[in-house]
Amino acid sequence: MSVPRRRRGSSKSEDTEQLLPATKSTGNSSWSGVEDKENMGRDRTAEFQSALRSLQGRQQVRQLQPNPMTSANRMNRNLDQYTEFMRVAKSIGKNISKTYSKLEKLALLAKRKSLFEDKSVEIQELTFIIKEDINGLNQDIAKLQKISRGSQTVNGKHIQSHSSGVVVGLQSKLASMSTEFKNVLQIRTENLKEQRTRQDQFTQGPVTSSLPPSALTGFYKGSALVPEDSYSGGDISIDIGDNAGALRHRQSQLLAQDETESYLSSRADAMQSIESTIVELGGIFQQLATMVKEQEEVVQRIDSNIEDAEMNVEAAHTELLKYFRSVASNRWLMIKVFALLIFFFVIFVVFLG
Amino acid sequence: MSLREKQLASLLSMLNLNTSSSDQLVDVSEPVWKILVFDKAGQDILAPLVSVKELRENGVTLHIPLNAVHTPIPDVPAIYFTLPTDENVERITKDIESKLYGSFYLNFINPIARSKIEDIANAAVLSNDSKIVQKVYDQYCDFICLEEDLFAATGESGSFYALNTTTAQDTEITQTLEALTNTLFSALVQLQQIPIIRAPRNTAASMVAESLDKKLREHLRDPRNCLFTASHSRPILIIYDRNLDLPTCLTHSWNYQSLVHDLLGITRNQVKVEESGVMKSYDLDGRRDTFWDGLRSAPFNQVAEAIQNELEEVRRAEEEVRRLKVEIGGVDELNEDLSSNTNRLSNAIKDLPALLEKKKMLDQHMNIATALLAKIKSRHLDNLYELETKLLQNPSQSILGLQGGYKDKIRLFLMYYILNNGQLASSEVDQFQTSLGSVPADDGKEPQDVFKQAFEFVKKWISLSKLNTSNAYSVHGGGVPTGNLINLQDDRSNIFSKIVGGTSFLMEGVRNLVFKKQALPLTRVVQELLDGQQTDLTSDYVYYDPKQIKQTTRNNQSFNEAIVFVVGGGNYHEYNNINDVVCKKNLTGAQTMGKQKKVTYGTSCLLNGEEFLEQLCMLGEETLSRS
Repeated sequence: MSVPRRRRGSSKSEDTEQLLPATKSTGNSSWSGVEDKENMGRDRTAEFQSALRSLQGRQQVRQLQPNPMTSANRMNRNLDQYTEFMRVAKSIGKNISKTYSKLEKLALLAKRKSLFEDKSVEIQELTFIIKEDINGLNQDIAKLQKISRGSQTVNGKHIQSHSSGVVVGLQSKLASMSTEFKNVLQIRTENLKEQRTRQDQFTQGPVTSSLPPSALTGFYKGSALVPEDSYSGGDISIDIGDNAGALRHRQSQLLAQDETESYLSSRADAMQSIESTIVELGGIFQQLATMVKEQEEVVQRIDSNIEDAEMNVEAAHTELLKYFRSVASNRWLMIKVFALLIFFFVIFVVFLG
Repeated sequence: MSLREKQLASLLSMLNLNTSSSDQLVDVSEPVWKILVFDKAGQDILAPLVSVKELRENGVTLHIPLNAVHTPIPDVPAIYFTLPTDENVERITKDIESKLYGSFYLNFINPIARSKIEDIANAAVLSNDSKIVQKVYDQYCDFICLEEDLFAATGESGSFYALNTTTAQDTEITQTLEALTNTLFSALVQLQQIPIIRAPRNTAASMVAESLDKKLREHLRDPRNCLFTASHSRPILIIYDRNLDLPTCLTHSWNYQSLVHDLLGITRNQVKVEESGVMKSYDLDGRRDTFWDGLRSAPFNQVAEAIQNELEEVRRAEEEVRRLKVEIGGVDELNEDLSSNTNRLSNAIKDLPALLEKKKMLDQHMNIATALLAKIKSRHLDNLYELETKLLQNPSQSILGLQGGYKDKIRLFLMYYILNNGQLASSEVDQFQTSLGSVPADDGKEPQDVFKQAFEFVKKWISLSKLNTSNAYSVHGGGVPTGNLINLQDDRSNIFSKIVGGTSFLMEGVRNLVFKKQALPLTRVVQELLDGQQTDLTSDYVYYDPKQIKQTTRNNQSFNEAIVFVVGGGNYHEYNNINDVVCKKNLTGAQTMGKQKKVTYGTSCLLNGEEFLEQLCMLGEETLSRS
């Protein structure tokens, strides 16, 4: 009896020795393929699909009649409303992401600090467009909310909360976009202010639209401010260009005088428009805040509602138990009464009958 | 990356319909709204990690429990996050058959069996839509991550009672074993590490170790294995058994987190505090709450002081803002002043939300601390704690004549009994029992009954542990073992009852205890095994290396990383103690060590002192009713 056992034991150890080198090699081969999927658990969709295919194959042989969607007709009317809702929501979502890309463009433009090549017209246009977009989106979302509220009575409970969730999601996206917009505008106003103070400093040599050559070439390309600092730093190579630049500078001074004036007034306009936009945004914010507050579950945990439900269930259970006990005691009473009846019946039948 | 970050990453990829995080950035043009369906285990896992707000940010509009009534929502993708139990799979197939949602993304916490996949496929066929089930995933997420480096098993199966009850069927025991193995396996998959496993011989822990070793070997041998692809470092996994060390679960602790757990109860990082009759629940999440993150392992008086300091700081900042308002509202000033003032004002406005946030956070901790303090005062926990610490150093310390709740007293007496190895005169036990009185306590239980039951189990436990293992606490009586790096002599010096000047208003009436870290038995085990030393404490530990073909034992290896898992219930006291001692060592020995040691603590369930006592009572009752 001991012989087969020993054999089995030895074959087992062979097995492990054969298998372990194999795992090593597969471990290496799967390295490249799976590394990017780290932390994602194991995908078993393929396994599922093969099971699905084999089942479908079997079913085709049997030629099953496709069973009609019984619930479809009942749901039809609700569905129309719902699909309409989702269509609008999707389009709003798309518009929000479009506006986002516009906002990114604006942020890039606004963060530029150069005095020249200032794309103030472009920025103003973009600001206007984005402002309009946000306004429009805000109204759209309000409409969407009305749709979802209007359908409350007709639709199922989950559809309703799903759609209100969609509305809140859109709102919070819009809100975060508006804050970003506001930040961009603030950066822009700060830049404008900075430029103005810089202009004040340069009153002796007013700003021109032509850059000094040192700014056009070399390291400080495109920046008018930094070379000014570096002059005093004693950079020799720039020094040469500086002399030439100063000459040209003076020549163009007269020409530039007019330009600066119009430039200044345009700047004042820009500042004003930005300020008014920020004020308008404030209004939208307030509206959004009230909307979001209506939901009142933003920082909730997922188990908070369920605990309440659990408590309710428990309370119901205890109530049921109470009822059961009272019923049980009633039952005992009934049994006693019956026993008494039968007892009397027997007495009547046996002794009187 | 810590365990929590890793689990969160895999949960977020699940919420984004199993796309990796890099794809998600590309797909911004059209928002995807989806719903989330989870069972109890899924809810427990998600709750401490992802709030409703975060769900919404990830496009989840609705979250529903699996066992609730589901009403159809057309065209919406539904993410399911459940255990692959028969019941759950049946429910899922029902939902698929009736095409409740547009598409299904099924994520199972534990690997789903092939036969159940076929059941789901069958449901998909019945629904006449071959594309209704989009993805089927095994997530290997069967653990609840509570802190950066703290996790607990899902479900109730790993409690001390469940592991020690004599009435359990064999099937129940194997189920518990399997559940714990799954938990550990999931954590290892998330960490992408194959450890070397150590566990005390002849315990439930060694059974878990063995079955985990088997499971790891199977997966390593499987040619399709793709679970451990990026495992570079090899930590040591220490599976510990609660049966080796009961007193740790009975002691009172003085650090913030364990106090909150012991006195108020923490369930999944949430604490409930009664405030003027209304129950309020607070989240204790170190990722958002910096105060909690910094001070949760600090002694309570330090926490009280910190709250006071921070509150004053906030008040000062508020004062600053108010002053600013007055200044600016005042008479017209010079132009430069105005612009600088505007700057200051705009800065103040910028800081204001953060300030308010901080104030809210501090208010929360203030409320928690006040609630704690009320309990500490009414139960005389400061005296109790001091006595317990003395007891740990000198088991013959007299413990009679103390005040406090009856449960606290029983906990202390049981500790006393265990530390004296059960060698107490029966008159002493009787004396204690009568001192409890026969008046039913507020919770309707009779203190003497509770004591009798718990004492019964502890008596049995001591007689059993004398046969099996040396008492983990005997080191305390015997003196410092050679080679033990923790300086116990520090703890010996008289460290308590030093009244430090300037007590804060919060701590009025409570003695200011000077807190010293004292290494618990498990901490010493961890330390020894990390350093690759071997003393009597760890000589009888089994050794498994899933990567090795033949079982060899290499005891003198040292490690930089450890995963500790306590079978039968752990607590925050132990978790903080391990962290503190390891961290402290890092600080002092930073030059010599170079590398930081990292310990991840896990347990089959988190129990506070009273819950543990309750389970001891249940076990004792079993023995009493049988005899």
